[in-house]
Amino acid sequence: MWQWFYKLGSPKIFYAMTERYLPWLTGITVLLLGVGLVWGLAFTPPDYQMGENYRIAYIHIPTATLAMGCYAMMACFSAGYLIWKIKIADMIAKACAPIGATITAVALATGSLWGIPTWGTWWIWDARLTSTLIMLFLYMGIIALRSAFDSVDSGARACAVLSLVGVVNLPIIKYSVEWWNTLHQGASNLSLSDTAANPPEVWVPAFFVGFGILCFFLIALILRTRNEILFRERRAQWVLELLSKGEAGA
Amino acid sequence: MVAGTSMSMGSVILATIRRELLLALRSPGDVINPLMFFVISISLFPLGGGADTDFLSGIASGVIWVTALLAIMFSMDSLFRADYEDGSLEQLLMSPQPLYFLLLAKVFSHWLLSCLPIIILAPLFAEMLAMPDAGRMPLVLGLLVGTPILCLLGAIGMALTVGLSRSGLLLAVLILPLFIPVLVFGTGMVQAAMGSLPYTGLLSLLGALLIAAICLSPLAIGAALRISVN
Repeated sequence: MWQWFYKLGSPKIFYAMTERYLPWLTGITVLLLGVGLVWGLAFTPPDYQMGENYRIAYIHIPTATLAMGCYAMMACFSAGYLIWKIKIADMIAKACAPIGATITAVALATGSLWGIPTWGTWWIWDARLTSTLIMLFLYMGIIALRSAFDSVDSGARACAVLSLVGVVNLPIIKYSVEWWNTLHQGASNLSLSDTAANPPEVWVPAFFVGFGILCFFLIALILRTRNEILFRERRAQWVLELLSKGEAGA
Repeated sequence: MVAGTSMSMGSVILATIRRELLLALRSPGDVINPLMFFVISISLFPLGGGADTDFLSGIASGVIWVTALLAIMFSMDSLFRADYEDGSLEQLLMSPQPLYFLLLAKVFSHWLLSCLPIIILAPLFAEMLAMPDAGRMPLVLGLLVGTPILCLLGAIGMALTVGLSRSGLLLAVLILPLFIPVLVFGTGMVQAAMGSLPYTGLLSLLGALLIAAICLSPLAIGAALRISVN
């Protein structure tokens, strides 16, 4: 187990290993998203209050959760880079920022689309909406900070410190709906019983979509990290060999 | 500081504060400009938005807090920039004294110079913006507890960007999002008091943020300075 972990720390082995996993991951993503979206959008019965509108939750909830998860992940890899100087940890943290910013933007956009029919407004300065918006700003700040440094190493360490400082925002987002009773609802309860507010035919497809979006996120993350590896190791022998092989193949 | 190790912690902190105050006295522009920014931008709001007292009293707490926040952000440049350029920042990092307390002393003297005048002027501007009397006390208390948090957070951003040649707008992008919770609680206090509601809860939250910021941010400032100085 540990040996596998150490090996992944080497950019070369990470590159080779992800090459093997990517087709599987792609297959699983297509399967999960296909099943979940068709089931959730076409077959799940409409909500008795919100009608068909609630179906946007199938995109909104997974992306909003993932937006926070991505930040937590970026912070963990940043800490890993600062403490153990693992190069690959910084490359993954760098890949997290633009993907996380995009996911946060999707979560905000789907949330406001959902807000128009149900709340009667697409935006309100509610605690959870505002703290999610702050998270989007934090992602953008991290991207801007990295691009401001000429030295890859200084930029990486500065971004790692900033990511860790921004972690303060995560519990604020998570608990904002419990601390402040504003418009955004709290987390829903999931139950297997037929009489529950959210019966299984509502949340089981949501799990398919959720894991599908998670896998999609991992694919995007791996692809960006692989690009970053090729760029930073562009003078390494194995990258040069790989590139010349690619040219010969094409 | 020749015999660095023989100095007691207290005298080192006092020496740091005395040095900062003396430097500010020698180049008063660094202290006066943020204050002038605060004064001038507040006077822009009645000119641009209309001098109607109902409108002004509605936005007064927000305007004072936001302009104070921006003034503090612009003032951050004087915290590390000169020290970075003349090399005394490296001396600070290499000093045998705990960096944690040196940085706290530095940020504290910055707060004395750039925030205290703003806090003293705030009630005057509250009056000029037609804020009801009930809002004055929570405004000053909120600024007293909130502005040190802003200085500590701003110092993190400044420490991260001090090595970059043009860092002004980047600094804004980095630290303004982190300022938002303080702004929300600070203006919330004034709004609560104006609606005759208790504001001690929000003040306690700000106090908790201040304690957390005092405990943790010097560590982040130190780490960021080491990156910038290299």
